Amino acid sequence: VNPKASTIAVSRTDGVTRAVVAPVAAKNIFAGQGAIIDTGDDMDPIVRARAFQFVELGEGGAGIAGGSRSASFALFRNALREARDLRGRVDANRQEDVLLTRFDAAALVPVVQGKQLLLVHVERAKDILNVLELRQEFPGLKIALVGVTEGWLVADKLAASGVWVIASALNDLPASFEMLAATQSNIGRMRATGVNVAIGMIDDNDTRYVRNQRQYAGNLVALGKVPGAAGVSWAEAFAMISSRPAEAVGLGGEFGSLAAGRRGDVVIWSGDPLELDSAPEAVWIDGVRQPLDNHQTKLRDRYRSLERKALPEAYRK
Amino acid sequence: MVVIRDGRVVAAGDVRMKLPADTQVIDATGKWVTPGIVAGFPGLVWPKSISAPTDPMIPRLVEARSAPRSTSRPE
Repeated sequence: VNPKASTIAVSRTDGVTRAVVAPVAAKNIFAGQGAIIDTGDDMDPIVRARAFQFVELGEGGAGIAGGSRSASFALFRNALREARDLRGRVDANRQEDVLLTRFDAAALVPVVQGKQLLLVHVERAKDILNVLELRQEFPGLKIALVGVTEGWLVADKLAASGVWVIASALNDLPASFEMLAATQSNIGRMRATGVNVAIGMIDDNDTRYVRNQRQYAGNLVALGKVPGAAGVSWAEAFAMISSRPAEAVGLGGEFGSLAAGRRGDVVIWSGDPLELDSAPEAVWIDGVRQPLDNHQTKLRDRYRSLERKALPEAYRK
Repeated sequence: MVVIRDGRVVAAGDVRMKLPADTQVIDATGKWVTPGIVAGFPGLVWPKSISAPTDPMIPRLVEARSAPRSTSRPE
């Protein structure tokens, strides 16, 4: 994690103080471990390293695992079995059915034991149910789901399971075949059914615009006023971009809300933070006042009002 | 009102507590005060070299099947 990355400063300027970050799966359904970071203007961004293991199932995982969902789920189940059988021992007597390197298997041991959160990316309703069913064989698993575009189709099962869902707010077009039931009412319907939902920026394009989260949250409030659509209340919407993501990764007691004992992450806004014409006027992270300038604001200020003589020739007339 | 000491929130809401005389006070009258926003799940793109240890599993699966003890089975 590069603490000087421009995306971090830009997010901070718009009131984002913490982020759940995950590796992108390259050649393996196991993308690796994710971390929780703060966006503070210092060289120490990691709040919680190795906060969770991230696994790609669904279409993304199927592609990586050779083009089939059965393959990716089989791989995943086998990997969990190996980790369970390993139970932290040095693997002098590993079984014949060895799919993982000893490092991979060892890394999954805390997941099987429920000591480390498992974040799973799935979109399709059936894939969601398949992941929930994994808990029958591995009751220790602490699972949170990411994506979950078709979650509203199985909202009752999700609600009963109690697992956390981090979903895109307004994913209303089927970008792939696993999202055929995409609707912008997904979050509203899941929430109305009692699913634990947080808003996340799942799409790769979105992740570079983390600050748009509050726009999405505001849109969910507005959706409640559209006939036939399902939105959420203002309080729900704001919770979905503050306390809920923190709870989803098991750190609700650390940040995401203003209560005694929480980290001192405070934003003073010019107005309603879910309105786009409001802006942060002051931001504190861990009680430290943060600078609100970044590369973009500096460019804006530098070129906003240039002396005529400083302009290129063609613009001087 | 939000009271912060040593980087942590001490109290929030309708606070009735005596603050030390040297407390720094910031007046946010007419403004909105919230906890910082928590960004759920921005993908963190790692360079290829770092993701290299995660070898493709399918080739490994094939490898495991063709390992010596497997091939020693009567054909």
